[in-house]
Amino acid sequence: MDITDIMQTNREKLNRFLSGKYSFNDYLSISSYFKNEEYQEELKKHMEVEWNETKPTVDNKERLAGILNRLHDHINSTAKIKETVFQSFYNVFSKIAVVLLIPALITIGVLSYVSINSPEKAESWAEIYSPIGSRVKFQLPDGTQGWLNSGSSIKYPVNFAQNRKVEMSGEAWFDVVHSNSEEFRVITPYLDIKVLGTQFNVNAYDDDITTGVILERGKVIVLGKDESVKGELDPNQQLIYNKSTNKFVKSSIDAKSYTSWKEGLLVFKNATMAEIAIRLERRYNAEIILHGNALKTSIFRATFQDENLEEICKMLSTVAPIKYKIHKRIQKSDSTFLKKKIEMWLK
Amino acid sequence: MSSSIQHIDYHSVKKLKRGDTNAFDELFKKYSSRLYGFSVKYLKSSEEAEEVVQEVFLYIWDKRDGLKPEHSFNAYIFTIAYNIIKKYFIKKSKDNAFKDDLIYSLLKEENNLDKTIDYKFLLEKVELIIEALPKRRKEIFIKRKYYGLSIKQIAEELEISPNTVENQLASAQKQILKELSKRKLAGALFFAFFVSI
Repeated sequence: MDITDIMQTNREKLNRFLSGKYSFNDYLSISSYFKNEEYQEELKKHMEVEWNETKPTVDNKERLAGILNRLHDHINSTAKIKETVFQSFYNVFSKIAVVLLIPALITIGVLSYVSINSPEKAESWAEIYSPIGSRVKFQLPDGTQGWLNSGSSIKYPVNFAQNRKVEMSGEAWFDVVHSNSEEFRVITPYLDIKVLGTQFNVNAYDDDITTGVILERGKVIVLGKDESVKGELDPNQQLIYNKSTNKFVKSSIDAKSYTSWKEGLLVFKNATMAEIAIRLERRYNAEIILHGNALKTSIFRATFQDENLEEICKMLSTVAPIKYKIHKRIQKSDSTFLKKKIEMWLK
Repeated sequence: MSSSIQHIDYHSVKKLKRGDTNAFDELFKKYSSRLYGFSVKYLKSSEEAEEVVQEVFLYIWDKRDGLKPEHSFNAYIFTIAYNIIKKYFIKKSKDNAFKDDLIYSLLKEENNLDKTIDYKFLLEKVELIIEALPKRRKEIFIKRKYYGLSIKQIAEELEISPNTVENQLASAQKQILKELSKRKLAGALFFAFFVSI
């Protein structure tokens, strides 16, 4: 038998093996191809031909959706710290480090400069965005630092040193560098916050009925859009604006438990299930459906750190009479996937 | 053909390299079904094929920084798949080596080594027969054949004499072969195969 005959025989064995109609000797041969270095090149060549001829089938959709789900769990839970540094050619102060936890969505942590061509005229803005399911650490040109929560963004003028103002949506925590000459202002659609130097949290998600400011340290003044003073906050106080009643309400709270999201913790102190669900939805980019008012108004105390959403559901169901159902992510016709959906009931 | 595939994936791979999960989903949708079918053919197991698909795409995600959009993604995914399938195949054949030995001796006796078999079916039967051995005999058999312990090691571990171990092993082997040929498994399979087509 010369070498081509041997190759021919090997190919036949492999084909029989792949077709499922093979003998035990065929099987032993295939095993030895995989195990022995000398066969590797030939085996790989055959397999590549086979691979290029393999067509997709439709009968394994559900199985594949399950795999993709697990992959997304992996992507969302690897809390690896990824550091990206953007450097601008135009401004000495525009060196910004954006740290993304959860590398899944790194790309979207966008830093964009608008209309840099006419810097002296129109205002140029820089924007930092934190994708859903991630947290972004930011540093502004004046040294002010902070964190952006899931699905939030801030925008600030490129001549920030002379004009310390930040427009934001979503939730952000700020540690503002003190300056006697320049006030620091946070602008949201419903209220502004005037500060000198301090640590505070702003929650201004579009889809929330309220906008809230929580002070951890220092002092802030909250202004209405008409520049009227709506309240001064001391540490561990919060001011909440309700969009539907158009009212501002001040209360005392434990600030740390509301700002621990920036350490990756989800802390709930006497929170209703409805509030918990909203925060879980944001953190995990999922949809949570609560059935029944009794469940929505149940009160919980809980702290979650690195748990994934399934684990949190499991934990909730062990401490309370809750049952839940996790739906698989459904693939839409445009090949994107709907959010993971979870339904919960009281038992 | 391959150059057109390459061209099609260029933008998705570029986006994936930057960490775009939608691009990841797109590539998963495009290749996962093929990859699954391909893996099943080699591993003859839907669970293992599923693991291969998962492992290949985990690798692609974790190593996305090094992706080269200008190269063929189709060839890239094949190379990863090849290495992972190889790993699974070798692991499985090691795990099954002692069962393979049994099947081999049985088929050889019946002169069936070159006749078509349903290997997976035979493997399951062998497992059932091993499962049905008396508890102590099974334990000794598994320690020797699966974990590869020496007769002396087994004797020390179970605090029995090496002679007892040897006797138990011989009985196990005899019992398994008897069961297999009693059921005329290989012959029956061979017959069933030709009748069914």
